[in-house]
Amino acid sequence: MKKLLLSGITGIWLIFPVIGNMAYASDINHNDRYVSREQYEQLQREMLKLKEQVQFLLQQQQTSTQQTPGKPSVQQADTSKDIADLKNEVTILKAQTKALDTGTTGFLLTGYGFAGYTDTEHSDSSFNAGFNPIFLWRLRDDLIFEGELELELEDNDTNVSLEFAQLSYLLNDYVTIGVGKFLNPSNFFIERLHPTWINKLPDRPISMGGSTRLQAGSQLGLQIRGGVPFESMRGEYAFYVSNGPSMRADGSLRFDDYSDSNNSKAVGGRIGWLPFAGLEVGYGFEIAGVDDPLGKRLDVITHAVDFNYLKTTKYLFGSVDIRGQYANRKVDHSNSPGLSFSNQSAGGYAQIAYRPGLSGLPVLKKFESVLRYDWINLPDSSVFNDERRWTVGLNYYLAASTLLKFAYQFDNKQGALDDDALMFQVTSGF
Amino acid sequence: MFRKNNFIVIACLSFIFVLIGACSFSSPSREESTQQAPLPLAAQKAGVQLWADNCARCHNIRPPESYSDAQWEVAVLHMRVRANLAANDARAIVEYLKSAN
Repeated sequence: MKKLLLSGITGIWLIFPVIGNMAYASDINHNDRYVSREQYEQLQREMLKLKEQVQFLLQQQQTSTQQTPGKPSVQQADTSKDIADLKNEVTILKAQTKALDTGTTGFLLTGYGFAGYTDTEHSDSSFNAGFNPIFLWRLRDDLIFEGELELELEDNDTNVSLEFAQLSYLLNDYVTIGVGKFLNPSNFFIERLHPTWINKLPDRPISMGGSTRLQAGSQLGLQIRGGVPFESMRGEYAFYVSNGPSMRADGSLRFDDYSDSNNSKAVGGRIGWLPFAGLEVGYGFEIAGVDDPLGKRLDVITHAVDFNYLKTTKYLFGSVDIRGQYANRKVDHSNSPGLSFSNQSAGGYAQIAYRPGLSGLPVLKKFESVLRYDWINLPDSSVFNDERRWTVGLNYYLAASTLLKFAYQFDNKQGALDDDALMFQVTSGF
Repeated sequence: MFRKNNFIVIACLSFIFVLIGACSFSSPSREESTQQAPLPLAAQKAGVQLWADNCARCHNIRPPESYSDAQWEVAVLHMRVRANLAANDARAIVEYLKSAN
């Protein structure tokens, strides 16, 4: 019994703390549902305080959004200033762009200039210089004016001459009509290669210039020309009618007398063929009439062929440029005193140039070597001498269209003293 | 001789006028033939090659940045006349030069 009682007391003793703890926990949970007066009042105060703060913020926001127009905020003022500056800059740029606008026409001033030194075996050495401005005015997509002046020093004067002045109308894709003074289309070298920044040697082939030249440098008249593609090939043509040459007392022809000396117009042209990129061959001709000193009309017939080949290949570490031109001219027999010889002339040139543009050595890329052979055969019994020349040259390219040329010319005149020459030239195309 | 030479000049002029007349009927209008329509990509690619082939045939080629777009239009038109460039080739070249400028 005692034992049972002891167990009961012990059990109750053990149970009470558990019940006590549970009652305590229950009391805590029960107290969470209620706040004291003091807590309530404190919470009420905090809530009022928060309410005031929110109202203050709302008022501030409203004030910032309902600013009067006359009084922008600092940020708004900065933005407005930036926009105004931007508008101002755009207006200035528009004005500047408009000032540069050439309108519906296009104008380009281009050309070339040169300076040089020549020391010939039997003449005094001399410096020389020249300047050729070219004016291009594109009036419409199908209308262009081209003009070139040649300003060159000679003795004490500066010679000014009109190299060409031509108005061209592009009738369609294949036909262009030109009128005015134009470079001789039947002479490939003169028309395409004679500018000093293109010509690879300081002087021209002997048959292309001077008083014994075989073909005119330019023509005054009218021409029709164009290019016609044939798949990967291309054909080109140029035909002209012009005032033509006149005859000197010694039997040579004068091409710079542009006021026609008779009613005999010159008719000529050239047909070119480009079978593949890099190669062009052509045939040129001219039929003209001149009066001899007795007033007899003589026919002048000229034929010319040209060959132009350019190849750039890694196997040669660069490019090879091979060119040649041959012309033959026959003037009818004259009965004038001193002109009873067979007035037939021929001449031309062959040239090869090599530039190691693909070489691994950068300094080599700028050099170019040139070798040219040119000759002229003039009528037997005339006052002129046949001549043959070999010219070797070395060029150094300062830029794509600016170069220095050094050349030595071995001359061989028949019946006269040879006139070897040392030449230097610096030239620039712009 | 006077009559013969006048005949040559008159014949040349007549030929030109007939040519102009014929072209105005048979070819596309001038606007169509000269306006520069946008070139397809293949044509633009060809423009690089045409530029290299045609220009380098006579002289060293100048880099595209040496002239402005407007200047290239003038220069290429000049060379189209001088070097008898085919019209489409000239258009492709000028388009290339302008795109590379």
